[in-house]
Amino acid sequence: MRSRSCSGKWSIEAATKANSRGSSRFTSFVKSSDGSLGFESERIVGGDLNRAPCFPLDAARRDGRASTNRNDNKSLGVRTQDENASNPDVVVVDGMVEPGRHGMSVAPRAEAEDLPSFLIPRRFKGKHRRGSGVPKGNNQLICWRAGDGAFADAKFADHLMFWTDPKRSTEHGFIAPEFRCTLSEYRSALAVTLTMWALVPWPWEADS
Amino acid sequence: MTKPIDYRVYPPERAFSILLLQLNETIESGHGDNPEADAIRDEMSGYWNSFTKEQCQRMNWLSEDLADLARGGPTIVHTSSDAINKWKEALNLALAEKEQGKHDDFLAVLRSPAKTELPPSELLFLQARAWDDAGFPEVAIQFLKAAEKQDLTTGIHVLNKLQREGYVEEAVQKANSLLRDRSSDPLAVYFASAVLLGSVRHLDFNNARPTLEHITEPLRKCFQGFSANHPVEAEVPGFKASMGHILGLCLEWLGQTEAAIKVYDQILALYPNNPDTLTMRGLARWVVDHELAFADLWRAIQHNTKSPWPYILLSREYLGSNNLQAVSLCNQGLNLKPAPSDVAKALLYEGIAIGYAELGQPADRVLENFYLAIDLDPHGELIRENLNTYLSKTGNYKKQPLAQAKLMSLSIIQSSTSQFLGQNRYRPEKTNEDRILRSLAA
Repeated sequence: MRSRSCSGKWSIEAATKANSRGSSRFTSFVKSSDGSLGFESERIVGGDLNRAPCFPLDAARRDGRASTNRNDNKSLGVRTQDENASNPDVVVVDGMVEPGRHGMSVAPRAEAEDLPSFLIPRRFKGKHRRGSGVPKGNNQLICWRAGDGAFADAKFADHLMFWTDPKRSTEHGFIAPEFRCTLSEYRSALAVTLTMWALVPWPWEADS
Repeated sequence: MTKPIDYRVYPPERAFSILLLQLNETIESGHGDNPEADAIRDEMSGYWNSFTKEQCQRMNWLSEDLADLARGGPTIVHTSSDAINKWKEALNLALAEKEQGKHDDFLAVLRSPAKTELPPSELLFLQARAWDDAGFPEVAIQFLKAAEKQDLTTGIHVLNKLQREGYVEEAVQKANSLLRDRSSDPLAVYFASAVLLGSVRHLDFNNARPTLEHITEPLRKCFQGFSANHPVEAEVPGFKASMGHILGLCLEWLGQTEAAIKVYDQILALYPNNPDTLTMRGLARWVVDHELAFADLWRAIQHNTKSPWPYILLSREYLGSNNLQAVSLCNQGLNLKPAPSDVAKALLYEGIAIGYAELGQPADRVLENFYLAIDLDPHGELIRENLNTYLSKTGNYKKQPLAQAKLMSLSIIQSSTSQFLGQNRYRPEKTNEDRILRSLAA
């Protein structure tokens, strides 16, 4: 299940080549509890896909069925300024979202170095490397990933781009709209990627 | 810890740290997988996504430090004498960096301590100071509370921090417990009394009374027993005066004016020219002995009081008889640094307006000052009445009641206390930190 980008480190050269071929990349994110990857109607289920490869589901959702619409930090979606005024994933102006380095957050690996400790299940406390933050996540969180390219700027899917975060380009990125579009179109484009995301085990799962 | 105000008003790292503390509390209460905890994480992720790599690392270490704290503090890792010396060396280097505003190295050194003579409570205290200096006061409070469990004298620093950061409810609780504790030192009694007095200053007498009575007894004992040779007095000249001001005010408020005046007398015997004490005694004497009160307030002005009330009260005395002097006093009051409160400034402008009116100055000059006064204190009924008096040319201006000045003398205490606790005069946490670091260096 684990792909190259999940287990290894990429050199800049590899990342550049992958980018120049325009292949779609990587990426995993953590989702949780009732935020399955599924969606209803046009809206994404769940909120922002924080960090790259993981996505937590609760046990009840492990059958992969669509669940409720959500826009939080664990689901396939984004939060606007109306949903998280202090730190929105995207800013919607007159119903429109601009392309750029913002949007659904993702990380390159389901490793403690790339994911914030509050999105790593607490049951892995003690297995993490000191200094990477003590796991404080929901124990039901599971991890999803999509793509196997380098963690570098490229097209991600129809109407969607992947951009790295300039502040932390090797650890954090965004899935953003490719063009100016409505919020609903952006969320729909994210929702369509549902089948691209596959469940991956947490790196510490085998030890637990 | 009760959140004082919306964490979103704070810088992102501090806001994140508050959320992390809330998440820890939620997890500890057994609700780590509940929607409540998820909502906190949701907020945290918004901040996290905006952080730089350095900020993320700092937050990761914060999470580690808090986990260590839950286990009783950092584990000692260096024990050989060589390692201890190297650790001290690293501490000194990190300390120099800290002075430049770089806190991460200092925190890192404290995180891997050597076995020294340093008691665990002092190590926790240093960690508290380091996180505080780095901009995380809520985290500092957690470390201070842990230090207090091992050394009760740290309670004063917990109180000080809670008060400064606006955690009023908790500060009042802590102040009450410090006052109840008979082993509390004079500094702790003083701080606790100041916090409690501040918490009731807007209440009416009946509601304030229990607190005033609670403060008075331990404070009186401390004040009477406090020797001028006490180490605190050497460190903070004027400490006994500050303690006496609070005691005197409580006594006055409780109706024991004579007892209050005796306290002020005692202070003035030690510090004859203390302008705050002169002001307070002047206000206390105003109804008992007008002449003596007048003399005290004049002396307060001569000794550069920062309180506007001597200027306000004396200028009112001169209005009608020596208007030039009255206007001059009001102008001096307006030029005080720090600037008086709006209510006090309003009264000073009103004094100028009345003085000008009595001196027969042009109406626009008189009205300008009345309007400035009304702008500063829109609820000042007497100012409006005096304006109407001027407009109707009856010339029978009313004086502000003494009660208002009495009430405002609370602000003298408040300003004296905040100056005392403030950065310019005495910072007990800084003093303690210096002491610990000196002992380490030795």
